[in-house]
Amino acid sequence: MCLNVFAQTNNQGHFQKYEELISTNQNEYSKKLYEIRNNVFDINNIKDVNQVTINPLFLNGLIFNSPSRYLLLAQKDKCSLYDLISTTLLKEPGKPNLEEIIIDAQNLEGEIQSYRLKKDDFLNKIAYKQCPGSKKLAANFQVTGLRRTFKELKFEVPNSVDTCYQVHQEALMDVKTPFICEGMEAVRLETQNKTILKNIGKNQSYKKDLQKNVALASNLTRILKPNFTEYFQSLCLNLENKEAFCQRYFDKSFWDSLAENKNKELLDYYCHRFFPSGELNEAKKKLCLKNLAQDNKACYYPLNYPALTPAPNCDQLATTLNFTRLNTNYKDCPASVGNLGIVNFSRMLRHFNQDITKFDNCQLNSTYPVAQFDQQFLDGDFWKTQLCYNDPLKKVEICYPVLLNESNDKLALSRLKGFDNKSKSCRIITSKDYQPLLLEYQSGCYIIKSKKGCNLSGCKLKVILDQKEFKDYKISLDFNFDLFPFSFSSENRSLSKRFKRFLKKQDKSITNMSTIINVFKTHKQSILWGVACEEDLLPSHYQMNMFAQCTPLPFIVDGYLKEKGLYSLSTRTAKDHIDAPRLIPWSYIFSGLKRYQKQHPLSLWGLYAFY
Amino acid sequence: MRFTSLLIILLVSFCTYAKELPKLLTKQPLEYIRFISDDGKITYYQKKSGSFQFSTNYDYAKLLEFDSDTIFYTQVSDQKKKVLIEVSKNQHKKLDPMKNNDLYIGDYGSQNSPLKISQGVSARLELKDTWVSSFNLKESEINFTQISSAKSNKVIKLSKKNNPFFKPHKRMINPTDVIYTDINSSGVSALLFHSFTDDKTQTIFKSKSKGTKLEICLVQDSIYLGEFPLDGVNLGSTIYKIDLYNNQGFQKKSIIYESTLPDLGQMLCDQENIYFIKAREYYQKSNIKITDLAQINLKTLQLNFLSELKFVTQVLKMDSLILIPFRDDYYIAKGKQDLAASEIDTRGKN
Repeated sequence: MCLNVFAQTNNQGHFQKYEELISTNQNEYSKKLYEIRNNVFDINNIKDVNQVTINPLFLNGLIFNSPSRYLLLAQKDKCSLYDLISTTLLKEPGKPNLEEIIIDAQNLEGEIQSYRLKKDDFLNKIAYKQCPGSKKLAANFQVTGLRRTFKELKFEVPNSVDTCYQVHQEALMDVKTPFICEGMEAVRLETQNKTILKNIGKNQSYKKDLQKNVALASNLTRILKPNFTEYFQSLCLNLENKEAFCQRYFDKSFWDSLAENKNKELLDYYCHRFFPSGELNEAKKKLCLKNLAQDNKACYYPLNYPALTPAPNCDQLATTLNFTRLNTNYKDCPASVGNLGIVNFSRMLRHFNQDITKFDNCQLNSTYPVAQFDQQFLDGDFWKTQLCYNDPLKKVEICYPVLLNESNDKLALSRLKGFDNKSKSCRIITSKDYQPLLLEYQSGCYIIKSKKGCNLSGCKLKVILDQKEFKDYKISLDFNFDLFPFSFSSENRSLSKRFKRFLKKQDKSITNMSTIINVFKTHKQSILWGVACEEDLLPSHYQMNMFAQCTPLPFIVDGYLKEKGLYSLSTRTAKDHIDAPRLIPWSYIFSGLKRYQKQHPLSLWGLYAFY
Repeated sequence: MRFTSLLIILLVSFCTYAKELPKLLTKQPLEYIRFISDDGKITYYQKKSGSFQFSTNYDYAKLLEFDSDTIFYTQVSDQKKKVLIEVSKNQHKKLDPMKNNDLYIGDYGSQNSPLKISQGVSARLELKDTWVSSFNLKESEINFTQISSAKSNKVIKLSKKNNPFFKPHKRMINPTDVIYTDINSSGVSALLFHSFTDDKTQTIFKSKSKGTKLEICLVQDSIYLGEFPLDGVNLGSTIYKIDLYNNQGFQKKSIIYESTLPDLGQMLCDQENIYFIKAREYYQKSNIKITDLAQINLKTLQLNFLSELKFVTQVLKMDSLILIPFRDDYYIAKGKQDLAASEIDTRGKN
């Protein structure tokens, strides 16, 4: 077995000892079973039911064979052990479940004898006689009372580390915990149990346990809210490890801090999904943050923020957002912009200049900073999305840059040949909103976007001037550019070079983790800017179908996390929403950079720190 | 087979560590290679100048030529009748996430210029090289194009998604029936069967949870369906076998593999095996997966690891070679390893 391989190399002594212990117990247990094979249990032949105990050898077997986390629940007294036995959480030696119990009892002649009892017999004839409360407790968790019992259970998200440890300790002492954990195990292993049931053969006792668990899982899935299940599953899996149980709440302290965070856009992004309409008042905010803290899946799909989904789970986002440094105080919608280079470059510009105008329109938040950079430093040489017309007198095509979503576009339109000054009243609307029969639309200028929308990758506009279509223009969307240098001759025209030159930033090529750690430590505003193959950065989303396949995807890195000697980087690819950073292993990013370098005409290494 | 037995097999198989894998070595730089046949006699490759060429050990020819920012990707199926070429123009300059590639088809090993048949991405040769399936990102449509008629014959329009960057998996069963994956507006994935004869769609499988991806293989008369969690989603992985025929409503499904770890997937199949990227360990806090290429034998259902590179993310098939792209190398996980001897000479160099 694999475990042996590791044991031999890492921890030989302890492991062998443990193996020996199990083996010895197994041998003695088999011997015991053989010895008592003819002992027939008769309750009338037992001197005192209250003096009956579980055989120590059998108990050892239970301890060796059952998950140790559940044994903690039996530490209080013998009744707590009986409660645990009544669930399906324990296993007897050599079997997949707990079918029989071996007890020691004094008969009427005064001799101590060992007997094998079926589990139900043991519970009814011995355990419930000794602990009458246990019978009532178990009954509460039967199918008929399940809904009521679970509805009455309460759980609160701990608000401090001490409270969390206290909740954990109380759970260990709570008589209901074995039954709750039985339910959680049933839900967790539902698919596996169903599969085993199909192939179970003749083991009737195990079959009965599995059937019970499958029914239990089905009932609980119907009754319980996902956050409830998740909370108790985490508790049951971490009964031995209060730190692991509470860790998720420490990480989620980010959600608490979000209430005080001045970044309104961040709050909108995370809470809009729960309250699609209306203002986010204090009560809604509180409920939203509670949901985010309790339901790990709540972060997967935002409403109306087109980006790559699912976003990471709430635990992971809470961890990442705690240490990110990118400026994110604006609305963002990468999929609506139509150009990943513009999404990525605007993020760089907004990080280093937080005074750039913000808009309610998320597309504009990406296009405007780049167009502004173009006007300010490049004399309009870069921005190639334009409205154009042919001037018959000058015999040239005249073009005006447009952002495809802003008042400037109306001005551009007003300069077109054949357009009179009424154009100042142009309104940009969707085809759905344009109602020519209504009085308000019967005069004036309307720029109507098609249903598919309008972005840098494609735009179908219709300009209506006093109810007549104005056609004497065309839109140029030839928007190709070098984000990073593509050839020696045009190296200085790439946006990364111009960014460095005009905004007077320093850059440093990043090839290893040590440099990343050093840069982040030394330069508080520094971020990493790069481009790599998306098949490496996001392998679960993108499969390589062909040899050498590499789709360039720009990204920004603004932090790192170390676990077990390995590093993950807080990364926003241009497809990700700015408020939902992903933790991408450095190894993936490195691989993506290497493969991108192979494909690039200049063998460009595509990762730089800027500060 | 009992599930418990399968688990034991899996546990035992995990210990069969792979030997150090050989790297794919070629005479000309790997970055230009697009396809090499097993015998090394036929190579498709691209040049820096933007042309796409092919060579045998006695001749070579230019098949396509565009400007220098053009990247060519190639697919040759086991049938080796056709060569499918995806042409990505303005690869580095046009960062439009909805950009389609031009799709060309040519005769395998022929010097004749390939013909443009469609536009899209994720193109695939189907039904013994008589059809091509592809996905049009701009229109959000799956296209099935019959090669002989060289036009888009059949189309499935996908609905609007909450993941605008979704790309479906698709396979043709025959000229009128296809299967494909889709996600609904809540992020739940499904595998669907569509018959063009009566234009009806039927659900074969629907995920129980949000945030998973479905991958498919067709092996003989069975669908092998992998369900794997997407990045940042804490779920396990499952591979199902679903019979295509004599399976009313596709009700009969069996699980051939299950893991509580979030495998990466990238399923690839041949007649005997399923290959996929399996997680050995998952560090939840940092989202780090220790992954390697694994293989499940379809007869015995035995699972073996084929690599021990720890951060494998992709697997590819080139002729009969199973390759692992890793950093800037390709490791040969399975197949013949002496390509370098007969592969093309320096005429391919720019």
